[in-house]
Amino acid sequence: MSYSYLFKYIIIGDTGVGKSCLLLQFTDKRFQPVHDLTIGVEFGARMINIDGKQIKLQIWDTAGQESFRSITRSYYRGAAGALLVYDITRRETFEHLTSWLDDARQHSSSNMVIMLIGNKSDLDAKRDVKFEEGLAFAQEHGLVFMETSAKTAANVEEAFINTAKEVYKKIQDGVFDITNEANGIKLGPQHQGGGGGGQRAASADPNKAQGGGGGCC
Amino acid sequence: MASILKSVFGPSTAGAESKPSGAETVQKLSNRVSSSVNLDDRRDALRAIKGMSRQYRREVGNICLPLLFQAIRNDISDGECVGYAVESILNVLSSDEGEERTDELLLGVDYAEQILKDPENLVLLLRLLEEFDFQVRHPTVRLLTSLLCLKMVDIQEAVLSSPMGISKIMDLLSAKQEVIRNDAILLLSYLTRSNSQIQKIVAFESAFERLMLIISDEGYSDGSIIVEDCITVMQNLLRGNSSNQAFYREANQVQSLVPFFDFKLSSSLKWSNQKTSNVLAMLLLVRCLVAPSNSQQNVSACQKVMHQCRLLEFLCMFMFASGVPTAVLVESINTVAEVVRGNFVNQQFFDTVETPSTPPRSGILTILMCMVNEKQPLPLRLAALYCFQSYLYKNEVGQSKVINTLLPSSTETTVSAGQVLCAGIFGNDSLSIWMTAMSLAAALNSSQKPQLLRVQLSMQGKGQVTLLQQCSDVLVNMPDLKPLSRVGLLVLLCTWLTDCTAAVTSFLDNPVNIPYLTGMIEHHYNNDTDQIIGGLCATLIGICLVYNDGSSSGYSPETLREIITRRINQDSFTQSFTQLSSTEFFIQASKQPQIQAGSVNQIFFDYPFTVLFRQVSNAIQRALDPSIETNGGAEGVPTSSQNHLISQSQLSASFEEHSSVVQQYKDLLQEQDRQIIELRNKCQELERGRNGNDTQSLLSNSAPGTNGELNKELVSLREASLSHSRLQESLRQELGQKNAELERMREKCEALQLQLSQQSSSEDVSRLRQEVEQLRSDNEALLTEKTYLDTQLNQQLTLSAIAPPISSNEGETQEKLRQLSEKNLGLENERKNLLTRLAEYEARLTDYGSLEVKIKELVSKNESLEKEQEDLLVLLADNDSKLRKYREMLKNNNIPLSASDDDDDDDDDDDSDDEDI
Repeated sequence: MSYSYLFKYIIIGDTGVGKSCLLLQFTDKRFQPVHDLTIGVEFGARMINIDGKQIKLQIWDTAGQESFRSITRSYYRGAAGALLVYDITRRETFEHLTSWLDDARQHSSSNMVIMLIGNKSDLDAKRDVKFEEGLAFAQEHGLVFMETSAKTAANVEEAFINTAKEVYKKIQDGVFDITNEANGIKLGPQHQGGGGGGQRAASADPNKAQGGGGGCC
Repeated sequence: MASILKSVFGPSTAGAESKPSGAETVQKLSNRVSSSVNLDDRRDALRAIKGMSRQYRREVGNICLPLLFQAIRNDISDGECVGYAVESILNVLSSDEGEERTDELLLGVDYAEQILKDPENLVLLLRLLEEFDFQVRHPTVRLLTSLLCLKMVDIQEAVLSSPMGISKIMDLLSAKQEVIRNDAILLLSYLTRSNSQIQKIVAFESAFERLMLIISDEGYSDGSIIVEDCITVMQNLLRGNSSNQAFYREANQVQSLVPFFDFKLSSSLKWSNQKTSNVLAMLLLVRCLVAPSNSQQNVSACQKVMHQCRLLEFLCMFMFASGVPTAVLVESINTVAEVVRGNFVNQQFFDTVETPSTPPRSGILTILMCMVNEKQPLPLRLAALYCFQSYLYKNEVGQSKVINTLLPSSTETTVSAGQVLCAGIFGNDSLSIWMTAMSLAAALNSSQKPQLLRVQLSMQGKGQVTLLQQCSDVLVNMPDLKPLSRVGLLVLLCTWLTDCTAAVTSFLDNPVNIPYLTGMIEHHYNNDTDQIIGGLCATLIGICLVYNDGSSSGYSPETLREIITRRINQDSFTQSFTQLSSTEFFIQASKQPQIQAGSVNQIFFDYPFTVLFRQVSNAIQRALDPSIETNGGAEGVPTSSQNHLISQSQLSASFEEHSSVVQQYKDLLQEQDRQIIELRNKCQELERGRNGNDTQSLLSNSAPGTNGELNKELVSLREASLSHSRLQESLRQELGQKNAELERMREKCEALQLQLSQQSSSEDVSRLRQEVEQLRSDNEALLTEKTYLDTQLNQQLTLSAIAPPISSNEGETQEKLRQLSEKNLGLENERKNLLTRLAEYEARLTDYGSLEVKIKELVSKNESLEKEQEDLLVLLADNDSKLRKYREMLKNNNIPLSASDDDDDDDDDDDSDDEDI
């Protein structure tokens, strides 16, 4: 399956907020209520479509425990997008967002798109963080915000796709240097055939990327 | 160097007599590094230290190590200074090539530990990797590699916790200088060893693509050792790492392997040693992706891609090409085996593969002929068997195809698989007999088993004989049959008869078979081999019992049970067949589908048999338990207490066996642990030696005086070290597998325990109820006694109020109290026994799957019983405390007491107790 772009994502946030469940819902379209703690990082991939373009998402799911923080930090540099997740029924996961955001901003490229996700929206009765609070936090820090439910799949597709749209927009605007793979973006093999010629971003030079990126896909 | 020394010490040191010791010189140089204000001066001193760091390794290490790091920090902008310092540290870590003493070798570890004590040191070194100055970067990469060799786990952890540590190392792959890139690959091959976190980050940093790019730049299999190093890193990243396996596949990396195997194979092709090594390494990498120990999801997805991108096709070409080195041939057969194993599409493709010869021959047939060929080396024959078994694994179409070639209706004119197998199984070569027996067993499934009964052989002097008949005839009538052949035939019969009543009947109709088997079990065991054969015979009788529909004229299930319990003795029967699974051969075979054997002597079982055995051994144990057998329809619930007890005792026996197996595993594990530690130590020594040697070999470029003997020593030492590393690696893997196995075992134990605890509640409820009843009646008696005692006490108290206490009366009461508390104690003990026995039952293993609903009911009943028991306990404790109170009162005996109040309390308790029940 060929694609125009490949984006690398990571999912971050406190332990137990449903990161692995979001990934599983997005890649496998299923919900697994009982899940072992993620040890280190698990991996999933899926193809999506934006503006008629095939985009491959490679998603690394991280471990939320404090002891894995230094490991999680190693993933920021190479990621184009990050889903920062908290649990709307556990206020402390919301309160830790600042520390996650600091970490992400410090170790990632400045262009990484961060999407704030309030997960477990199906548990509205147990809600501990208001929608407005999440929104306010997102606005304050320049993040896109959504509430999702990995259980009912509500907004899960949208969360991943909207993040991709943001990345894509940044490419179009020439913000991302797509020749540098360390940004977590890779041109697909399609670009080699000149298929993507019409939509090239002004400042990016895909020709240059072909040698490095197209070699082995 | 002499000039430097001169400049340091001036003319006064020129005289040979007053030449200062190495330590003194090093000390002076280090003073200069730390105190001189002139950069040139510090640089000269560092250069001098570097110059001395080989010859005076110990002195430089002891005096300068912290100073060298300090010097790097102070003069970090001066590439030369930093370079000298890093090289000095590198030399200090590496043991001198001439030294073979252990303490010299251990010195490097000591220094490495010293360096690690300050976590900033490693951060500093990782920072140096970002320097573009070659004279800094290059020795730093080598220093990190050297540190990893000495203290792998600690360095791995340190790199992992250092921000962007791995990213910095990964960036080296894009270094302009090839030598840095190559040394970085070597560094990665150490860094990624058995640390899944590092493996994942390295993969995230696009390692697969970047390494593959290097491999293709180097010319794929024709490349230098760099190609091999790259593949080694990729193997590390994939081995047992499911996340990376998924990523590798998702990133279309499997397809990128095709060019590696796509070269013109011909007999004139020159296979250099490096090419052989490269191809072998790449085959191992393919196997990392489809190893049976990987997750099923990853394996089948990879298998699918490997077929689609024609990788399987290329691999099959290797199998039949001429001029391919044996090692590559063996490994490509093993690889094909795992690429087709359990994947029907790939198995069907493999079915169509033909040899490039004229006329072309079926690939499968070629594999079988190679397997039964005595002249072929053992690894090749074993690979052929593994490939054939993998082709048939879960492949009903393939299985029936093979069986069909044996059937009389078969009109094949050319040589068929069936013919090869039949020729092999009744041939003279014991390994061929065993291998063909395993191959036939692999072709059997529930629908093929009755089919195989139709197979007729024309034997000289006997006319037409069925295959089954011939197998048992060989067993019974050939006392000189080699043990391996006997085992092969018995395993085949076990597989064949399992779940096939027609085959059991046919086997039992031959009156000589059972006497032969019982004879073998009763045979006095002289050695492991006898024990294994006895165990297999017992298993076979057990299978005849389990899958016996009673249609055999000679042996009904009852007759067989009679034989087992009366003639053989049930205990020794059970023992002989359960011991089978604790033999080293069995354990070895049960580890993985591929047979790992260095010599024929290590072979007795294959993996499928170990799976089969575990299944049937449970069934046999159950069949031997009359209570379970007769009540099989009634959900296995024993109706009479007698049967109940029998089953309990057997369960207990079975649990003991299981725990003994676990114990054996533990012992084995311990032994292997010890061996590994020994080997690791040895290996570390050798590795250290090698390190030193590596340094020396670089040194020898600049100092060409090295003699040949030293080089030879170096080579042999390196080889030894390498083989030890391999041994260590394989042992480590083995240990991992052992651990996993133990873990599985424990999980199984736990699951069964859980099941049993649920179930035992059902079995024990009646008895528990009895016991509780008993306890209650005891308690009631106790209460009566207490009431009586209370009355007496009351009387006595009334009496004592008016008269001085009558000591004899008091003594009597006290005696009674003592008796009561004794009785209490007895009851408590009884309860404890009860609890212990309960725990015993809980710990036993058995599987009565269909009981769950009933079990749940019974569990809740049991819970209420437990509650009652608790109530009783509370009551007993209450009694106890009251008795104590009374005793105290008696002692003080002038405290008036309203005894009736207490009596009321007790009555209440008693009442509520009754209501609960």
